[in-house]
Amino acid sequence: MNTLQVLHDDFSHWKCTQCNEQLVFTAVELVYLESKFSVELPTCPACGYVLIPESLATSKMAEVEQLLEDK
Amino acid sequence: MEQHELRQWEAQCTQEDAPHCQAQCPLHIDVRTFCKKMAAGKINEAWAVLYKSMPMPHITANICNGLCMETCLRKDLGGSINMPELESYCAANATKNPPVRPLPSKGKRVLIIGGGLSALAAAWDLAKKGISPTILSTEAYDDVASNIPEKAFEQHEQAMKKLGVLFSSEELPEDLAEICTKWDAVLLATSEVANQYPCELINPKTLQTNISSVFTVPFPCIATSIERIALGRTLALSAERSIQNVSLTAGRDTEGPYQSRLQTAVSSVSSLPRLPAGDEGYDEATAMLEAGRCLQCECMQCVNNCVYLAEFKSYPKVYARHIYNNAAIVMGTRHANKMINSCMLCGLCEEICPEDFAVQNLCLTARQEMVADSTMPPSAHEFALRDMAFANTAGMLAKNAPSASASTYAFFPGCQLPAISPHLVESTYNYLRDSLEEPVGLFIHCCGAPAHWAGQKDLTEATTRQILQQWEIMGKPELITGCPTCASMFAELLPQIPTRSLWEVLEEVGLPAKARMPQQPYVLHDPCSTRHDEPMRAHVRAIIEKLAVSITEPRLSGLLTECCGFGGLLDSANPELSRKASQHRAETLSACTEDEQDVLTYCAMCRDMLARTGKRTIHLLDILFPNCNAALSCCDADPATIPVTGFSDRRENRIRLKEHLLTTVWGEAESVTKENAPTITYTEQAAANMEERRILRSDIRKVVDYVEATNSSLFNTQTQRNVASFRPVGVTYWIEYTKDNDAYCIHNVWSHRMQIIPPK
Repeated sequence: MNTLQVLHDDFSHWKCTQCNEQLVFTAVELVYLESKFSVELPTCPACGYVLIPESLATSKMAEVEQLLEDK
Repeated sequence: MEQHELRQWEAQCTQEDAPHCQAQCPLHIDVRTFCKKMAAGKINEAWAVLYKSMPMPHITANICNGLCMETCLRKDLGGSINMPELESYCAANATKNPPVRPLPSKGKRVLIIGGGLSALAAAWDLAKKGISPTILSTEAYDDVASNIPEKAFEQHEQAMKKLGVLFSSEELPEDLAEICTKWDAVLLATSEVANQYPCELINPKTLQTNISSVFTVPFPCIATSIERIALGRTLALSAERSIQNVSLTAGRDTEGPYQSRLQTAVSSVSSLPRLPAGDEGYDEATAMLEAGRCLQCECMQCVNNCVYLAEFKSYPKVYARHIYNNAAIVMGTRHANKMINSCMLCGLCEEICPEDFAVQNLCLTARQEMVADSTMPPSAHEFALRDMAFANTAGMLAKNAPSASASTYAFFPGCQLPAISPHLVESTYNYLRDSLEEPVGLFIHCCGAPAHWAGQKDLTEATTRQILQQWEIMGKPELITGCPTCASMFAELLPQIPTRSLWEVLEEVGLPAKARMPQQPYVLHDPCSTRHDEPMRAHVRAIIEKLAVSITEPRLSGLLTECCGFGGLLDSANPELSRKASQHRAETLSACTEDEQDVLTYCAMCRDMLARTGKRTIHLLDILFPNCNAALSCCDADPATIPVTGFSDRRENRIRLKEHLLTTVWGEAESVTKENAPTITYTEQAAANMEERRILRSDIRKVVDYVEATNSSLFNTQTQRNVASFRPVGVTYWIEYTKDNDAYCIHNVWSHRMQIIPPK
């Protein structure tokens, strides 16, 4: 499975409050309706908390959800 | 949907049927397109339209006697379109003849005995199809030459030459049987020659004789010029089929004049007199104006009156095909899902359609099939169904009258009135208890409409079963329905439960003394669920009359009322279109009066849907029960100015109403356990995003609880704000917040349906 890169902004100013770690781009799996994608997303390297920024959720992600629902 | 069902649906929509002029024309000229091109001054394109469907157009266009004019819908609105003059003008002024391109030769020959229009037309059609015709006549043009302008005749001859039509001046043969052995088919093109040969016409439709390869015009043949040309066309088609050895009769029902089913509404069309032609015929300007009088007949009556049907840029016949195809897709994208889920299921189309095409039945069945096949998009109705679930659990209340063990009546206000105007539920219930002698219970529950509209058959059944059980527990009272949708759902889904509308009961017991003095007059908006409930509409009008309130009836009301944009869960499946529908209805209501009048309605949902467009709208109960109740968040404000109730407020109103009534009516204060939960406030932007994204305060509370329990969140060092998420079931909610002394301030919210599988 190819890992998609959908975010290009800098997320180095984000950190995980619990682990106090800076978020780093990590391959994460996104699953919806029997479809699975590997996407590089800002993630806490210690606990794995993944950030889905608003812009991603309301644009690309919403579009893909709609496409998968109509599949 | 099975294919035969699709055919039935398709046949019900007449939009693709030919206009009456075209159906009446023996040659079925596309008069509509011809007039459109002529009106636009596109003479060559108009000529191409004639060229395509007329045999030997240079002649035909000059001798047409306008049979179409008999059925033209302009006939009584200024006079039928003058097609003969328009055709002559077009033939004389077109500067470009479309190329004549016969099909490759099939190596077959047809002998046409006798000249005249039938012979020439048959030869034209056969030659175009690659079958070589020979006209055996010395006087082929005798009856037409004098009526045709010289230039047109020359052009005709050139075209016939290009097509390879041969003329023979040999003697007429005597032995028909012998000729048949030499030619692939023989056509007897005039009455005279038909009478000369020993064969008999056995089928007047196909013009076949008792000799299988011989076709003849009837004897005697009394026909106009155009009818003779049409006979020639029939001869040619029969000869072609005979040569190809295929059915002579199949698919020929609409050959020759026939009755079209196309329905066109002309009631609002004003009369426009026919433009006279001078001695030399029309000039360009007059021809354009005359062609411009064409009504361009089409049906589209449902589409012209429904925002939803217009939205998808087509008409029901096409939609039926899309829905059929949508269900048939195994792999690939279902493009019609949105369309299927956007119908308001209001049934206006069926009332308007001359053929009673019920798009709502088509869409509802499609939804039920999608649910059964597990192809219904989860996002389409989930929010509305969650709201229904809430109304039937936390928001549900079913009590007999205080101190009564059974109820004779029970007020059933539905789920939206308690959510939008809880104080009106309280006032109405108290008034009913005071006015009716027998005990009146209260039954707050959803009627199951959202499940029904979503195509969820099982959920609908489960909901109606719950209602039935509860109704039995309450002693099978007669239900007094406060919501028009509930009334229609009970009639359809729970006919065993006796119901009466609140309006009928109020009319009977009398109106409360302290009605609000309204500002009048109002425009009355009938909810679409009352379309077939004439009694309810009458009771409402009777109450309005008793109140001495003056009302205006809009253009579309009663049986033809429009949906406010909520019906069929449109607001859940396609919020954008729902807004458009509300706006459209508000505009229809505004357009029916010169002065801007407030709207009066009797459905809580209609009230809010119209109010969100900015149209001042009140509920009839706002007039009947003006008393406010601060405990139920009701102020004494002008009801037309009360803002639309947000999604979270609707839930909270239900709970607040339930607690309030339990305390005040039944003395059963529920012990509300106040937890030490952190307070949550919302910025204006966050609140707006929550409404738009359908995120409830209860959802946000879950995220906050999760943060409190786990202490996990992300922190943006630039904005100094935290972000956290939680996925209770099928949606992940995100909050952007700042926290100060255990109080959360929510700055933004968003959500998604995709599930995140964190890295291992």
